[in-house]
Amino acid sequence: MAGHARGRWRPSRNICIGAASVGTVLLLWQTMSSLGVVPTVLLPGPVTLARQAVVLAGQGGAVPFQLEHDITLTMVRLLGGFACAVALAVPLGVISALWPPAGKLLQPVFAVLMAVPAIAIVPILMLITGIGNATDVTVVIFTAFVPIAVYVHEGVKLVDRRYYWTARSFGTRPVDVFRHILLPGIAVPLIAGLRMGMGYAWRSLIATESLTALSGGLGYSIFQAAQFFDTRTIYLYMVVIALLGFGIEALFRHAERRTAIRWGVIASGGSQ
Amino acid sequence: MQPAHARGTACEPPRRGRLAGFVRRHSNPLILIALLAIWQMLVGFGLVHNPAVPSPTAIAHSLWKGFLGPHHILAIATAATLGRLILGFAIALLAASALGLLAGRNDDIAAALNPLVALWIPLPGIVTIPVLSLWLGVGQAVIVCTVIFSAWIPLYLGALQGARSVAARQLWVARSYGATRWSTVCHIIVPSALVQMLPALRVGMGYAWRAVIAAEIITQHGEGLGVTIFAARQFFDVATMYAGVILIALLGLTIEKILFPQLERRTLKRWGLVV
Amino acid sequence: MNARTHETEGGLGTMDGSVTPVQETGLAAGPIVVEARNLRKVFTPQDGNPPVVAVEDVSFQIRRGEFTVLLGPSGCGKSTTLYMIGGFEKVSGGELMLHGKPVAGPGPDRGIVFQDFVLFPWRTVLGNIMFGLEMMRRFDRAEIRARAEHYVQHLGLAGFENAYPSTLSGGMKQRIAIARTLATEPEFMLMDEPFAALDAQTRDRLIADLSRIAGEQNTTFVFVTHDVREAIRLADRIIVFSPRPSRVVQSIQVTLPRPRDSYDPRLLEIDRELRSLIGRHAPDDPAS
Repeated sequence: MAGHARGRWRPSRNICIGAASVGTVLLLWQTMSSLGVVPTVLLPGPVTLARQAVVLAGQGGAVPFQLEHDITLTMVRLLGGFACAVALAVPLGVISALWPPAGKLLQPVFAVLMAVPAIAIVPILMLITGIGNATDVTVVIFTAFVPIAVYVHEGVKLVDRRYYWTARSFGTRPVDVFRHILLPGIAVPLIAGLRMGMGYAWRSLIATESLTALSGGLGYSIFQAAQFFDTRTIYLYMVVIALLGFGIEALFRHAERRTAIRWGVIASGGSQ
Repeated sequence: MQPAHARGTACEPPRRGRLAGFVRRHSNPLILIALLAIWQMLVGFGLVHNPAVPSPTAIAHSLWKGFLGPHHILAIATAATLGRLILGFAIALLAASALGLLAGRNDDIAAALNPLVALWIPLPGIVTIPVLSLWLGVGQAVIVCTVIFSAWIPLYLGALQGARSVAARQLWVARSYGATRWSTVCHIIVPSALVQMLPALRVGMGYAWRAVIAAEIITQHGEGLGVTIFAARQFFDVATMYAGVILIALLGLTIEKILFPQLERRTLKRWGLVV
Repeated sequence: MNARTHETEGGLGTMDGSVTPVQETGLAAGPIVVEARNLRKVFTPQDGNPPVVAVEDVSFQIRRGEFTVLLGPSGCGKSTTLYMIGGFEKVSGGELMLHGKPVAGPGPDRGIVFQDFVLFPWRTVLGNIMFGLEMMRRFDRAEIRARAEHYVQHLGLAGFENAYPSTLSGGMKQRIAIARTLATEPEFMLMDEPFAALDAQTRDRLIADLSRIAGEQNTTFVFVTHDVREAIRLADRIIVFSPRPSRVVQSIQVTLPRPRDSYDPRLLEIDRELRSLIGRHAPDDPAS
């Protein structure tokens, strides 16, 4: 882009200002809370939240070790469902790309699935799979499946056929072609698809938990806390959810660094 | 860059050319119709009789009734949902654009906002609903605010990027004409940022759409497609639930595949600004 | 010593390209290893567009140990011919014999090098070079590594073993591609305009390096290019293609001693003749 006048790369100054702004916000927040400018019922200060975290992590919550319990439940549902989605979506994506009839058949199905926000399905799903883990996990599978399959499909299609030519010219066995050409060839779009699927699944899971979870989970607990006007728990859980989401994103960024950036490959396929 | 080799086979083109060509071009809707037909047969002939799976005809009937029937429930619900969506989106757009443009022209502001934005991104919009219900009670405001909180980030980032990428030379031209700061903003920065903003608008609208439906389902307040779906559950009116889902999907598709491409065509493409 | 020999039936300018080589003093012509007779390739696009005849009627012979160059204007089907030799594209008509048997598909006897490298971005330089050796499953790990390292040195890639290809220049990438294929010591090295994407200096250096390497190996090189200079500097035999749909215009043997100097008057003479040959058969349409 011509004439980039702004956004110059000045890391140290940016970090300083960034840290300063976060610090200022925290400070203001705590001050307002301590001074009672805003009633703590409505907006507890950060220190209060930290204390609440300790309480909930121990025996003080509705359930012993509530905080750990909720985090574990949510993550188990997320990762379990996500694993199922990957196990379904990757083979389907590969097959639909390598075998055109399957691809043509699945294309409209994917388009329809993508158009429906998962949360809209939940009431119907609740009639079929009831309240509880089954619904949550199904929602995760449903939301994660399509982006992964689509990205894998596109990724397989974009693998330059001359990679296959090169491999075959060395007398490579088909299983080795799959392992050494196809899989690394789709690694970058796969990660992009996983990232997208995880984003959708995360959001949908929290929403679904608020409606369905019988026995806990972050989404469930935060809305439960709302019922009891337990503001401390509400805000604390908001922070926890944001941090977890941030952590997940960081994992994907790391994966991206070790693949796309190291190999010089962009997610839309092809190398530079 | 691949050499220009046509992907060909050594076989002849099919003789039943016309029919095959038609099928191939319209395979997507044809497959959907075929699947619907199979669904109808499965339910109609009693092969699937789960109470939670209605027949397509029952769903179609609900859709019809919902719009043209006595209470126009679906029509009202759609209007309510769209109303909240537009309101929330508009507010988010104004606020986020202003902030983004400001941050785009001033690196310090951008740096200050950056960590706050970064921490906000992984927060699902619906997680703000408990807090909002505490502050705003029960009402439309909660839903609209959820939409705002969900949509503002892509809009902000788009405005930021757009403001940053204004070509320096265009600014020089403005300055050489003695343009004031305000008119520079109006006539150069804002239109220039539009190029970046249209894709951001699209993403933001996607978030907003998901947010409004989720908020409606969770808060079940007033009218709205999400509310209707959830309410229908109480009465086991499964057909209406499915009808609602289909409406949501159709509306989402319309926004994504019709509204925005049209918008892009009338603005960016006409002005030759397609990236 | 004669600088070059013409072989055609019916003299200059005929379109029928069968050749019988003339034994020159000092030139030990090996047996014929690849023979094309009335070779034809038609592409049938799947989107309903009319079929494209890429190669119309091409006949030639390649002898073992000779550096054969397929020369012709861009897009004239010489790459397609190369791919048919490699077994990547199927023959539509005519015959293509490899050691007397029709070409069945790709194989480790024919290595390929492409114009835009086609390196594996997820492997390091050394990893790329080791690829072919690993896939052949003929050597153990230590032997593979040793061979790969040898070719790293041979192609001037020392010090870059653990770099990823995307960080390197075009010239380096092509060296890696050549090393990767050479490492498996194939009977044939098929090269599709390998230096076309490089700048002039790099190209010059690589031509010199390739010339040297070709002299040291037993491999039969089949090299596609549209650059006349390149062809003359490298080739023992130049097969000239007409524009698409291609036929063989002529086959010329180049017997200048190596290394060849670009400014050698004998070389310039062949250059002039080749250009007039190509020019005579090129249509005025620049798009071909």
